[in-house]
Amino acid sequence: MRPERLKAIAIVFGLLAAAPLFLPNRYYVYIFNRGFANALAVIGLVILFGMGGQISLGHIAFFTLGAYTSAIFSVRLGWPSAAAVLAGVALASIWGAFLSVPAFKLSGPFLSICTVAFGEVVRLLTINLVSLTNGPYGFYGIPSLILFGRRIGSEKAWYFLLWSLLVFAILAAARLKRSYIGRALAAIREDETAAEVMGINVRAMKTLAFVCAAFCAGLAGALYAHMSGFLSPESFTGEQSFSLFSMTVVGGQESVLGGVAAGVALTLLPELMRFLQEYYIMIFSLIVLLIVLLPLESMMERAKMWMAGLAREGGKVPWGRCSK
Amino acid sequence: MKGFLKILAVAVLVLMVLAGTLSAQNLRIVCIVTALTGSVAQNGEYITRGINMALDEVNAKGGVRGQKLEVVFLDDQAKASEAINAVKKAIYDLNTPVILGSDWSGLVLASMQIAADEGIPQLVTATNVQITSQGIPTIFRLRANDSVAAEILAKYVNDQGYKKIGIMFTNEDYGRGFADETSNYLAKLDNKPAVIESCNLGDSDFTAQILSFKNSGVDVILALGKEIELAKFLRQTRELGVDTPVFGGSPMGLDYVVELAGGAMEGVRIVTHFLPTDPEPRIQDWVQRYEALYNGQEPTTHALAYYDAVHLVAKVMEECGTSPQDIARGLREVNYQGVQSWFRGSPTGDLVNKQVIGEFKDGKWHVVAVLGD
Amino acid sequence: MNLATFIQLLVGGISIGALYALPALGISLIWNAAGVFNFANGEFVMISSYLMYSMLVGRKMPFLAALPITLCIMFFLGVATEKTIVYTLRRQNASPVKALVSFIALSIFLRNAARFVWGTAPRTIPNPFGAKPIEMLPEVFIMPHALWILGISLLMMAGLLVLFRWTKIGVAMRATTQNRTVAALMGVNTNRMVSLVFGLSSMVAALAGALSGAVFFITLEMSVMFGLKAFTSNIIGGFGNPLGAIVGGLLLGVVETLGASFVSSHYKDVITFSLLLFFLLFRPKGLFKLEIAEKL
Repeated sequence: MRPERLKAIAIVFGLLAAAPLFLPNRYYVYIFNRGFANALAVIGLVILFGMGGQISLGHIAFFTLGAYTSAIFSVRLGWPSAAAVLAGVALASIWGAFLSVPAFKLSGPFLSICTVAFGEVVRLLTINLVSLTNGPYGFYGIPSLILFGRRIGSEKAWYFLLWSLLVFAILAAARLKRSYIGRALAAIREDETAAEVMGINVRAMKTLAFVCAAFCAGLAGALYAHMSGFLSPESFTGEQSFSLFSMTVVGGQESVLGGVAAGVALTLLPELMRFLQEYYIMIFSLIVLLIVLLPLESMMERAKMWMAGLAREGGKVPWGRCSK
Repeated sequence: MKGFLKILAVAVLVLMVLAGTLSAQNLRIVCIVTALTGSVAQNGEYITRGINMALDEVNAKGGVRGQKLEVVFLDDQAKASEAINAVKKAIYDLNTPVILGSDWSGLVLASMQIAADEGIPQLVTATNVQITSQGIPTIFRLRANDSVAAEILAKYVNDQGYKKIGIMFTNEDYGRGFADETSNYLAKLDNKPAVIESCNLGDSDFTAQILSFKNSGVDVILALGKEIELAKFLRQTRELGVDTPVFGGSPMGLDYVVELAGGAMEGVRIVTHFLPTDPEPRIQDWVQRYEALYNGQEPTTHALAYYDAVHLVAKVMEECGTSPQDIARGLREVNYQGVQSWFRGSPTGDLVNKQVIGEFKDGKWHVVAVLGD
Repeated sequence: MNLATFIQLLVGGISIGALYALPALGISLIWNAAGVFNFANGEFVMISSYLMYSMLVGRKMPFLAALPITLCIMFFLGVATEKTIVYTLRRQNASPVKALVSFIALSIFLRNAARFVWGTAPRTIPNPFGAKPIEMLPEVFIMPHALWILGISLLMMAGLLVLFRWTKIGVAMRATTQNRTVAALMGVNTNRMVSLVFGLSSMVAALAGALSGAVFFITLEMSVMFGLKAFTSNIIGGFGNPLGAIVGGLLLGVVETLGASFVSSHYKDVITFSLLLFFLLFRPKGLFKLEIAEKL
């Protein structure tokens, strides 16, 4: 990464860290928190879908698993909330590993429907296992998180917690992308057979990708449970899964930062522009469709070439250099 | 891609600044509507109609304490997460002194603690018992709760001499809660329901449940829960040649449910909060004004409950003050006759105990009995 | 449970199964012709239901006039989908994942666009087959629409069979689905054939929509239900096998209705999805193995 880009990113995150100080009120801090939670889940999808090419359309199921497990452990079993969060993340990750089993055999639409079915089963179970989840009533009275003896109750405290987790997750995902694992996943995405011939353990890599994705979503979910204090099955529907998925695609699939930016921005936008709320899923889907269908990459390349040509003629250098 | 994200970021910042600088001239209160979008947007429309009608009347008489009353509508899309958002926005961003809340119990249960922590009174029409049984001093309810309705229903069915009772409910907060309450009351009357069946929201085939009722030979079916599924259930029951009498809750009284159920609605009896054919002159006068305002469309229980809510809030604010504490204090001691019913302060926050039993005959709901006032 | 009840459940299950079988057949046709999975098939069913509603209730047209118009409109919608999305993808030589994502986006888009045209209130159309149940056997009541749905669906399937077997255009379509390059070399206009298959498949889905609008209520959510059930039917029957899709659909309808009755109506959809997951994991080829080579 070029140093000036690194600097710009650092400035953006620094500004974000200070944001609660100049946001008009707690409500805005709260919707940033929700954006951060979504972005955390999106990072998982970037690893799974962007890097590994495995589609998950039931991703909210991991979020649900993390959230409900954490809630059940802390309320019904009286675990300390931090331990309950860990339990939630662990359970979501375990189910992520299970869901990677169908991915050994299936791909494309078969795998995606498999994940849709998984998501629906989880949703139906949260509705129907009333003694455990309180079913359609919703699960309330979830205590706020206590971390190292400090109660995370206010919106601001949550903001700083989620912000630091997000930064950590971004760094980890970026590191993963450049590691052996990231390259192996890219190889599997491009050509599974070739990857296997090259000596990559395809099954282990797929499991790893699913576990990473489930881990991120489960963590986001478990934290969300303690942040909102209330869970109910109708918040975790197939449409939410599609929202997470479109955030990933809008962010550029492979780009961790893009996914995070899209995750935060696409959570804030409908919240700030209430008139958008009615349309936003429709607009999301249209944007996704256009991104996939229009040859954006080649258009950008051409635009860059054109700009470079223009710059050479004028003897000036436009913003940044044109690599490639 | 990057350009797009940059534009997004700028748009977000500009909007935030705009939202922060907008200031209120009028006396603003917030109504959280379930829902302006999504599968129950029809209800949202009825709610906004009732509120707008009442607002015009209040403001025509000079508003509240010389200021115009204004209602900001927030959509919760019938989702708990959005309901929490909406309540936070109402309190932190719009600084509302009082919230007119949802008619969906799940959404109220999800969000009421937030308003309670800030001491903001919330007037809801959701009817689940748990809402007012948790000792929250700032929650007020404008319709009789499910427990009252279930008791009336159980008693009525028992008095009519039905001995083998079947219950059908939709598996969500309202349907399940109502079904639990009703079967408890029936058990107390020594007339435990013989069969209990249920369905999920979105189900379309009820053959199995209907046959279960048919085979166990129940002499009455109580259909409790959400609108669409019960309309389907009712229609299929009649189509399968089962003509057991059916009793229901307030959702069955809605005009579009009647339309969906078609001829199958004939003879169905319901326990509800309001029927536009109620002969009470106070109600008839209101129904006529409503129909004149909205091109002859029949009012629903939603429209009336929120119409009364606005008048109630306006009255309390006029008499007791406009701060959250004043409004809560006023509501605790209120004694006001609205169009729907009397509103009387109570320790739990339940202001209303009136229920109407109606029967669908010749294409219209007719009032059979009125209980409470 | 007595025999009469069982037969009643069975017939109810089969007539619902027939409604699943039609969109399942559409999915299978498209999969063979273009190698893409039409995620938006459930939305096609829903849109045709709404079209029927607009014509029957809005314009007071008779059922028999509205049906062909709906089928025509849906045919062109199918062709338009092919000409825009599938053709673009093919020209780009796009990866299957890209095709999948665009169809998922299309399905969500259509569902939300329908909301603006027809609103969110559930709709219903008068039952054109009459609402008086027929007592087929003593104590066994059957709605006339169940028989009509079965009859019309069987007729449609027979028609498709004739088309593919004995007409020139049908043979050209089959040739295209089996090997596009060879078909093109033999002088078949393969692009047109793929478009035609798309039109045809959305017509089959539209038939399901038109028939189910008379039985169920028309809601936006019905598209999700139909999409998933049609896919499950395909998996059970063997993906890409038209006959398998039909048998799978009927089977699914019966299993669901019996499951709701014998196990619990709460877990009806859980049964469906468990069946789907079971087949995907342990019998991904379905009940009927597909003879022609796999496409991707």
